[in-house]
Amino acid sequence: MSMIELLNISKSYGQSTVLKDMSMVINDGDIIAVIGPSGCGKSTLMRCIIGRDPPTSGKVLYNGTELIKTGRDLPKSCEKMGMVFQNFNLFPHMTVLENVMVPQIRVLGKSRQEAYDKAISLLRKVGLASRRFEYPEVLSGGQKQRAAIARTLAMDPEVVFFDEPTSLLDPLMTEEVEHVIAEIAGEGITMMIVTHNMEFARNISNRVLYLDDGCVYEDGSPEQIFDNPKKPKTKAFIRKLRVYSFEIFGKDYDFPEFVAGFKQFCAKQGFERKEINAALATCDEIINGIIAPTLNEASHILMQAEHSESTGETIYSISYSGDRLDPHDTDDFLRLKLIEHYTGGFLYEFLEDEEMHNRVTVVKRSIKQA
Amino acid sequence: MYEKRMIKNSIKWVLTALLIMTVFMLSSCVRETSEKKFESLDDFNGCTIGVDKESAYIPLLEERYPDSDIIPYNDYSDIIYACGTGKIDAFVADEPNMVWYLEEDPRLGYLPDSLCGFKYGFMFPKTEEGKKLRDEFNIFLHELSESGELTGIINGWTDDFDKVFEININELPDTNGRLTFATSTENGVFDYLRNGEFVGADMDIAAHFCQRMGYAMDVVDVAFAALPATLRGRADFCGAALPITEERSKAFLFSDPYLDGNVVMGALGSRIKGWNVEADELPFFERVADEFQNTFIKDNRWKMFLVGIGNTLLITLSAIVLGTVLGFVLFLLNRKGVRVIGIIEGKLSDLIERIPVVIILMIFFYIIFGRSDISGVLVSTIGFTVIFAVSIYDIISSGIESIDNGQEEAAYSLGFSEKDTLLLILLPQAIQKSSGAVKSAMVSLIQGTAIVGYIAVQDLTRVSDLIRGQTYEAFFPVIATALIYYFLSLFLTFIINHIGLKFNPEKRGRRDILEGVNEHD
Ligand SMILES: Nc1ncnc2c1ncn2[C@@H]1O[C@H](COP(=O)(O)OP(=O)(O)OP(=O)(O)O)[C@@H](O)[C@H]1O
Ligand SMILES: [Mg+2]
Repeated sequence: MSMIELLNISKSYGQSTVLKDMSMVINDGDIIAVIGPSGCGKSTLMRCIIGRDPPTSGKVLYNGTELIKTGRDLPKSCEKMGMVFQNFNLFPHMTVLENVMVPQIRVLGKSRQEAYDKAISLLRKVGLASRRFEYPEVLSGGQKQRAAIARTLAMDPEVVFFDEPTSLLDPLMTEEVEHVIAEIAGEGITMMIVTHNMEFARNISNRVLYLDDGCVYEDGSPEQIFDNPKKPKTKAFIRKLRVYSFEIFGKDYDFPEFVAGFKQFCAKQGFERKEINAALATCDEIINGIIAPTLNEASHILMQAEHSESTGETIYSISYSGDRLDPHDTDDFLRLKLIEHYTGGFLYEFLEDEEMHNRVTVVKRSIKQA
Repeated sequence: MYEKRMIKNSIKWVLTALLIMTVFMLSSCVRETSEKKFESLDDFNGCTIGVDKESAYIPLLEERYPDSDIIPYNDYSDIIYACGTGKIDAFVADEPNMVWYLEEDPRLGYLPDSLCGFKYGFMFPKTEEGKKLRDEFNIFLHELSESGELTGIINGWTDDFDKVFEININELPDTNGRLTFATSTENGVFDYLRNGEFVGADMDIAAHFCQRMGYAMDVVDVAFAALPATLRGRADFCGAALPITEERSKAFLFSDPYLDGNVVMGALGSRIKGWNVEADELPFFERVADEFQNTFIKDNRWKMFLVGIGNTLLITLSAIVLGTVLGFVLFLLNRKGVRVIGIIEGKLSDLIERIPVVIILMIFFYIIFGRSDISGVLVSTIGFTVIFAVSIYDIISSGIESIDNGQEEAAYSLGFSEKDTLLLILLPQAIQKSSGAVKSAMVSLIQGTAIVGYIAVQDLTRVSDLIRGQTYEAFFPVIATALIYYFLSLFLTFIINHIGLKFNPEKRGRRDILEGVNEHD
């Protein structure tokens, strides 16, 4: 059953559009991990859903009814949505106990006793009952986040949004907090968690959203997304790919510009000088030696280097348009020897369906500088 | 621990006392000057000469003594003091006043040669009513002079400094209406305060006039410099030993002169040829006792101090209470979306920052409320309330602005209403953060009120000035005032600290936190 439905949500801040025509559904009982590059709008998406920062256009339906903001006060149904923040946002002028009690009293209208009982049981659950009279400032980061989680749970939410709940914590504290979150996940509360910890995302969720280009770029089970991503940006993200590409249109091109950009990219990845020089020499031989004589006004060349941080492999490829042109078949025997020497062997493919039929690929296990 | 603090405190007090004594001794030292004796008026050329900054004689002095430094002073108490300590060589005054100054500081003397003549007159606004009243007054003055009463009144006051004021000005019948008489008790024998009452020749003549013509009478006492402004709407006529000058006649109407005499030069008696120095220096402690007696005991002057403290506290405390409330209300309204308030507040804040407060108050008193009967205390209270409200507003807004955005976000996500977010989350934190700023705003408020003397309020500073003007001694009035201000502001900070502690959430015990909760199991 769908609990929250986003219909063609867009969100812009002035000129920059963060979310573009996004639609999706959050089902009852979903534990959704949201991943994506920094600045792709993960926090913005959550703020849109809870109504803190309403979308520029589009609708958010909660249990079938639209959330409409009335003035600055939020609609009643928003009380069923809780949020846990990256930097905890505990109220510094209240004790841990009051942080958990006061919202219950003021918002849910509970008596002090009811609020206290609930607070104590939640604080026990997150292991903070003994620190209840302390102020947030004396707690460690992990303890603060656990207190914040107790505060959110005290409001009996149907769905909880976690925005990078552990990214300010050291590994040990991360462990504590993730343990608590996993425990709550087991209780059937719907959750959406933004995280950069792929291990955690895979273990806790039943669904993973990859956010990019202002929309849900890919949506699937943890296995699908982590083991078998379909789309290039997801792949690049999961494999931690770093990509460099350079395109040439027509007959004339600026080879030095390519060299400079390529060198900068390699330096960023920390490749060895030897590898950089070999790769550049290969490109020089293939493009200037073999492809250049065939170029005309309609030619199109794409040079790409993809480095995966998770596997340590770099894939260099040159794709080009025109008739079949396999460097292996060149008459220039010396040049071919040189290329094979630099690359240690390369693959040529002729791709009937692509715009650029020819592709030369070299796979290298990059050796990084110490 | 406790003993150590006692010793430290005692040392502090002993040092303070020593410091005050040293200041006192320095204050009564006579500076040695080149012993050139004054024999004729020409001998003053080249000397430093003190003069009231409002004096009509400045051009004359500049012409007559081209080589002299002519130094303008705020009032005669400063001039007498400066001459007594040798800071200036000589000063200029009307002869009747000169005699009165000599009474106060017996070390002084004067050269009886006339520098020029003066004629005193009463001053009236240049309006239809002013002209009518002036003509009425001239007729009265003529009769008074014909019957010889005028000389009697004037000589009575100039010869007998303990003369009793015979007319009860508070009980004059208002057969023909009410008049407000403005005077300035700063400058001498013609107008001064005795036991908190206005006395002197000008006052007596004015009272006779009102009595004879059937007017009830109100009196306002303002700084000499403020007399012209007072005549533009706040008073019907004024008399304050005002010499009739051409310049003043351009803006105001003068009565016929009621007294003429000579303007003379005064100096230390020891420097005037042929002057008998009668007074011997008293021994140190007697001199202290004498000055103390003059400043506090004589004429019940301590009562004036009480009035001053009362007014200062009244203005400060009302401004603090009302200003805090006003500042809060404006802040809340602006937050509620009444944006005009934010804009107005910004403009006000800018004005208050750029225009001296004393000028703002004078604008209120003399221009905006110039023609109404509103008292200086009320205008000051209103003015300082607005000023304090603006500070409170600014302090709260910047306090709230400095709170991390996440606090509001968290409150929102928990479902707090906008009101609860402000009252429970934002304000407590803002207040905690800005208690220092509030404290310093209060202290600068109480100091700021020291200027209300300009709009006819007898606050602590003004009282100290007046007493200085009467005793011609600076030490006790000034030091006492300084100490009183010090302790008043200490007292204010103490109160605010106390309130701060009471409201500091971190000072609550377990019991407050658990109020209404049964901690079973
Ligand atoms: N209030 C705002 N005003 C203007 N731009 C904003 C605002 N909030 C976010 N943005 C912009 O929107 C984009 C998305 O921001 P958002 O915080 O949602 O990213 P994110 O995916 O949460 O990134 P991160 O992983 O760094 O938290 C960013 O480019 C950011 O600069
Ligand atoms: Mg974010």
